[in-house]
Amino acid sequence: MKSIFRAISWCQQLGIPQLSVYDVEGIILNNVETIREGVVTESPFKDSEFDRRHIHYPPTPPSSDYSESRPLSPQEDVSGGHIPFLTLCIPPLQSASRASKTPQSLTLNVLSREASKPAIASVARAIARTERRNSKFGVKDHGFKLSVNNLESYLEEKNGLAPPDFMIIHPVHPSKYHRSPIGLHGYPPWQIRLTEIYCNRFRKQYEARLMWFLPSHVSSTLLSSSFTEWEFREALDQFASAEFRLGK
Amino acid sequence: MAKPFTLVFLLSILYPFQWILAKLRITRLAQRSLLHILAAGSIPRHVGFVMDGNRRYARGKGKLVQEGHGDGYLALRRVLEICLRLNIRCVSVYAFAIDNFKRPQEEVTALMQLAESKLMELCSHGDLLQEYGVKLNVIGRRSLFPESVQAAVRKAEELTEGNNRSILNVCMPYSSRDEITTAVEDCIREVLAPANDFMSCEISEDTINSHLMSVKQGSPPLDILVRTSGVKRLSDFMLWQCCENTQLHFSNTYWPDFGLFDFVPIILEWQRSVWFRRQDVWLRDSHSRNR
Repeated sequence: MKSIFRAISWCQQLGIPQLSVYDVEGIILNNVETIREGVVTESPFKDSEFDRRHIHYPPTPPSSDYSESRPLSPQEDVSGGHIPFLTLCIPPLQSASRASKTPQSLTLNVLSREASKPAIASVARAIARTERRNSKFGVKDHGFKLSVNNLESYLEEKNGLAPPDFMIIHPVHPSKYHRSPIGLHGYPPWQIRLTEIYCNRFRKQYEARLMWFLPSHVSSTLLSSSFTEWEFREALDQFASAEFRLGK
Repeated sequence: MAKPFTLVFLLSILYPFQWILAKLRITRLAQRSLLHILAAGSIPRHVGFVMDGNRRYARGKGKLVQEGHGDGYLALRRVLEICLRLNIRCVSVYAFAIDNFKRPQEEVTALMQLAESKLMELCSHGDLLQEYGVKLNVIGRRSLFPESVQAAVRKAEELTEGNNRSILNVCMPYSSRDEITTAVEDCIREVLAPANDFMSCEISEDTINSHLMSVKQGSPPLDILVRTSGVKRLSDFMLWQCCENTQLHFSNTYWPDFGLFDFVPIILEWQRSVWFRRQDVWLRDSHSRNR
């Protein structure tokens, strides 16, 4: 949870408008109250970058017995469908010196696996239901066609989840995770089309090697699993140097 | 007088030449034995490659962009042979994106010509695909291609239809969102078909998965995704397949330079992760048995 608070405060400082946090088991979703209470900071405002971040936590081993994350979908029956995730609107910071820049509130999206492939399936079901209703009312049957833009609008706009510009993959238990290469652990596939991915396993790998001499229950507490500022800065550097050609 | 001189001169050329030849053969032998050893361990079933960096490679060497793509094709052959020797059952390559039509017209035309000629070359008798029993699947929205390329694609697929040892998915012109949308569209059409039970509306993620173009043609789940040229994005390639249980590798070499020594560490990482996974399972089982 410390990592999330730190990430929130840094995003607020940088003026990043949206932050999504994802973990497969829904641990974050179950601890949302803690986040709500903990969000009060008073750092000065620096500068603004218009991008959205996402931090994604691979599952902790061994797989813990957490109950199913509660899907918090708005219960609309229009063809919009629903993607179950929770959004918190974090109010802007008190900007002491920079009165000219309008402080932006940070939108925090808390996701779990429900927001990923199952969400696309539920959107598909909703579309099918609407189509069936339309055909009942005698609307002409062309043979159903779905365009990419159409599906995109259901998944991304309004009640949907916007695509992140940048993704930071942060392992919660690095003692186990330096062993496996980068994996996405089920983050919503549709949204990550053009997302720059950052994952630094090697720093932790080096520290972790030293820890092999210690029994595992000691080493996992010793290795810091929190998201450090150093990591965040490195990630931002990578994002800044990335070229977006978009196919051309 | 002149004869011994010419003799010495000739020998001084022949000996190094022979030595180089012998050395090359040894290199090939060494490479093949390395692949044999690797293939004895655990091997991924499905590897995807995003062949990026042809243009930057060409610019770096002062060549034309079209030559870069030509070198990219040679790299593809090289890597494909490595994969087939390692017994990787399915290889997918991102050959052309739907967005790539935005590129300058002459580059797009050159790419179309390359596709036409090289597809036929790959599938011809005695060449790579026939040698290893590889079935070629072209995945993507073919209707966007000119008619000549579509005809070449059809012919190439026909030639390799009977092969069943391995699969090569050439994704062109491809966009993962397009693939997912088509799959969803097919699912919905099925559900709406008049023969279906009026109240049923069962679309799950597995249904969508089974309707994906690549899965329909027999591809197993994606195990490894390799993106070359140092770019750390997915760029609309197999988003659905790689968002879960797939290892992502971002390599800094440009695609035309990609070779055995770039690929071996990736396979080793795979084997390492499989080994650790097995260890974890074994540990867990032994703990539960001890309780």
